[in-house]
Amino acid sequence: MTGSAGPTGYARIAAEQAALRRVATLVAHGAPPGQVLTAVTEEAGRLLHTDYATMKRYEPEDAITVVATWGSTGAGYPVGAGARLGGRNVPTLIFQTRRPARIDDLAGASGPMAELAREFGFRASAGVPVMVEGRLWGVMMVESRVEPLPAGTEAQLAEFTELAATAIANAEAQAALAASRARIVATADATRRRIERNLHDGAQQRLVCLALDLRAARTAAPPGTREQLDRVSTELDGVLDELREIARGLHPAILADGGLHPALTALARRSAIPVRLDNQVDGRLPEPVEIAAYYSVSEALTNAAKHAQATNADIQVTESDGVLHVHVRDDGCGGADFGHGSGLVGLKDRAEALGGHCRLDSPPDTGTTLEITLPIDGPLRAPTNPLPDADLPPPHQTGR
Amino acid sequence: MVVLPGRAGNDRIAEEQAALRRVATLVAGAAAPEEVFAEVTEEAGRLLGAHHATMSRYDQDATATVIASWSATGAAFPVGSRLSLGGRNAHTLVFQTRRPARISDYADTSGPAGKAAREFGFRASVSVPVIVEGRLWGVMIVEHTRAEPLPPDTEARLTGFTELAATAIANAQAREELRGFAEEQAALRRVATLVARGAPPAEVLTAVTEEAGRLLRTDYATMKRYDSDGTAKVVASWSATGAAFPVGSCMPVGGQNAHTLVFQTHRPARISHYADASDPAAKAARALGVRAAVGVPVSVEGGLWGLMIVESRAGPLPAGTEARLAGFTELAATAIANAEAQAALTASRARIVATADATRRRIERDLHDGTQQRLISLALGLRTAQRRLPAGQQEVAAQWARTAQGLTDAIEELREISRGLHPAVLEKHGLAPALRELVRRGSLPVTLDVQVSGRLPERVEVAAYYVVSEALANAAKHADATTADIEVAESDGVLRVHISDDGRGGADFSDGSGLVGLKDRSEALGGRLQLDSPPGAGTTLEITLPLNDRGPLREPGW
Repeated sequence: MTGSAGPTGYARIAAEQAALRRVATLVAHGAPPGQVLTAVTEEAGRLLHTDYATMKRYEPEDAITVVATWGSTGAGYPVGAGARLGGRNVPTLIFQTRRPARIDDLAGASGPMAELAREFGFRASAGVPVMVEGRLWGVMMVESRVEPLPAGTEAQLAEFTELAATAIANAEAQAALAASRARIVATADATRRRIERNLHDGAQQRLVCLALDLRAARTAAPPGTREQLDRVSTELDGVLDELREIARGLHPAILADGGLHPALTALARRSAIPVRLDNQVDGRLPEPVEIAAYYSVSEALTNAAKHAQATNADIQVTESDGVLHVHVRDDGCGGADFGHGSGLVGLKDRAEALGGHCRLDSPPDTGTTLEITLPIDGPLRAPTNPLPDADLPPPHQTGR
Repeated sequence: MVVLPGRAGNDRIAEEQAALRRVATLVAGAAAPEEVFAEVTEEAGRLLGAHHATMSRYDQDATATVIASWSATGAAFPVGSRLSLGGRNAHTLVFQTRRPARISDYADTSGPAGKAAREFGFRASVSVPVIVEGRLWGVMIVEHTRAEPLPPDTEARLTGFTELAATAIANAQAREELRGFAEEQAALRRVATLVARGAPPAEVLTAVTEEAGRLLRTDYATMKRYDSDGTAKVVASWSATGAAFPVGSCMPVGGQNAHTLVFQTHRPARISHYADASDPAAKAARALGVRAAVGVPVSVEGGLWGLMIVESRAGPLPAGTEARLAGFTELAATAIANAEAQAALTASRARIVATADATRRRIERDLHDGTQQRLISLALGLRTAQRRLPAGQQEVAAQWARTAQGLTDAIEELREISRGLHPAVLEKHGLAPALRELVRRGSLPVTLDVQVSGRLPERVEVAAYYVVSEALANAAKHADATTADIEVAESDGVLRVHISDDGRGGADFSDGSGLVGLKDRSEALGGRLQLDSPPGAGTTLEITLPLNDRGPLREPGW
């Protein structure tokens, strides 16, 4: 800040710093990029006293989409409007040079974007690139219906686009981290399933055949050796049971084959305490959701019987608005938490990795309630673009 | 105003208008207030035929400071003199009544201001208050050294000048406010931008502390965090002079000081005077010459995290300090909350990897220690029984031998599965032997160079093993490579694994590729994975993994 600024100088600096501070604070709070871009566009438009300000995103195949607008006078490009690059106009110049660009008299401009600008009555435009992590993401522009934009417009705009770029980069990094976490869960599950398959189709089948062979051999065996064979047979049955148990721990085959309902029914049946199961969900769900729901119930029932000394448990599974709700309650001694060594933190990690939540309510002596919510379409299926189209009105071509 | 008709009257009016216009032009041009005060005092003194003129400002501690003076003879009241109010004199009368005052005889004046005036030989005076936006700001006095009263319209004429002075002061204050607002917005903007970019909390807190300290023109600014051991720890510190409270120092909560008051109330707190307190924090403050302090809580996600304190050696901090600090503490809280959320997310990711590895290891043990051992003893038992078969039972013996062989095959198969779950050699002997075995079992000729001594943290060994395993599988299966090079080295607390093959390249992180899983795993451990695989020119994979646990599993350091 210059020390010699006069009263109007300070007023200008104060207005600019306040506008930038508002936007920076919004970005600092992690506001969604759609909201930040709208705020940036409006703040820049107001500060620069222009007629129209827009934020546009470059799309594949030489297209460009308007993602935020602000106007002080009359109509301009609507949000969601799309057009092609080409000709001589500010978005195309910036696309080609990756540098700020201006056209002081749009009468001499060409291409679809120039035609559009003239249709809205603009006479001059200036813009700067929005660079996100070194790549050209979009452009921020201001336009005037009257006269060329003042010198220094580009520099002032650049201050705002830096913040916009930070917001976009942050959202991308966040989405990448969330996707990475979800992928790690999915990969671990896939590995366990593959190993379970290998165990089941390989060693288990082979041992089942051997057990049959042994029974057949018993009839041919000379007397006196049958007891020995019986012992081997019994032991082999024990090994097979153990192997099935291990396979189930890897990945419950019944879940892969029949889905959540039979798998939960089997869990309830095998549980050491009486369980009332109320499952309102028919049909199959995405595998990560089925697995997360299954493990949650399995862990909750194990805890109820082993640690909480519960005498019974209630399980409720429902689906509404694209979200699966799993609710497990027992009448045990409570006091469960997400502390180290508890399997519950694993459930929480897994639920959050799928974009869901895990809530635990376990006051001492009044039982434990575990509630898991899982979006049926989790982050693995979410679009990687941090500015989802849901943020924007349906795109339409404004070329008339 | 009594306007005398006639030529003399008109001249006088013209003269007065000219004097006022000169001052007004100065005010309109936003001249420095000191210049306006000097000019207004001189013009008023000359115009009103006084021997001396004074302009003084009332200060908070019942004193008045002379800010401009003029004398027809040269000997003027020194600018900057401070006069205690009290007694009967021009300064005190206007202060008490907020109205013009007139003294016709200085013989009965009293108090410090009266004494000073008598020393200058003043015999009579008229004084008028300077009111700025409704508040009494100061006083303007014209004095005579003759014992005769000043003309009756002096008050009214002097008021014309004090009004101009008041306008100049108001303008200067407004300008100063605007400048302060611009400075504040710029400071907040710098901090907010830092937070927006995800700068580490330590950097943000240092910046916040310095920006707030400078903006508020205090002597010290300090950020403290409340720790679970009942202390407040300095995490950032700034001072106008250089000597600041050292970062890392701790003070117990307790006593009469800013951090204790904020801790108790969760609200801003103010210490006007550290003089009486005897607790360590108050003593430390006094040792640095601190007299007054304002503390504002830093609340993160609804919990009291710490506080920010500004301290002054001069005296009480201005009203409104708390509100201005709050703008900064909110940003500090946002930075801390963001970092905590980020740390929680990365910790969760690391935990998911660790849990998945632990599960695989547990199942591998169950298979190895349980199933496989039991099958081995079964096979042994069967072979022993077979040897004990009476002679002439060749057919039965052959059948039992086949069954025993079947058991052995099953054991071998389980071993293979176990290795896929968690290689036992890795757990028992570490990375180098495990990699050697991996290379030996593979189909591709490989040059292996492992420069690692001793054992590494398990998560690092597992990750490095999987990366080499996946890279070799890709090289042989998809890249049609004929040879591969593996280098593993440890330096500066980082393990580097470098794998290159001479295959057809073109590998990427697209879905379904095992490479993205390796990248996720490396990043979950705080490491990096780089892939260079141009078509036709082989594939190079390099991962770096931090060996110490200061990766994402730890909370950010301060």
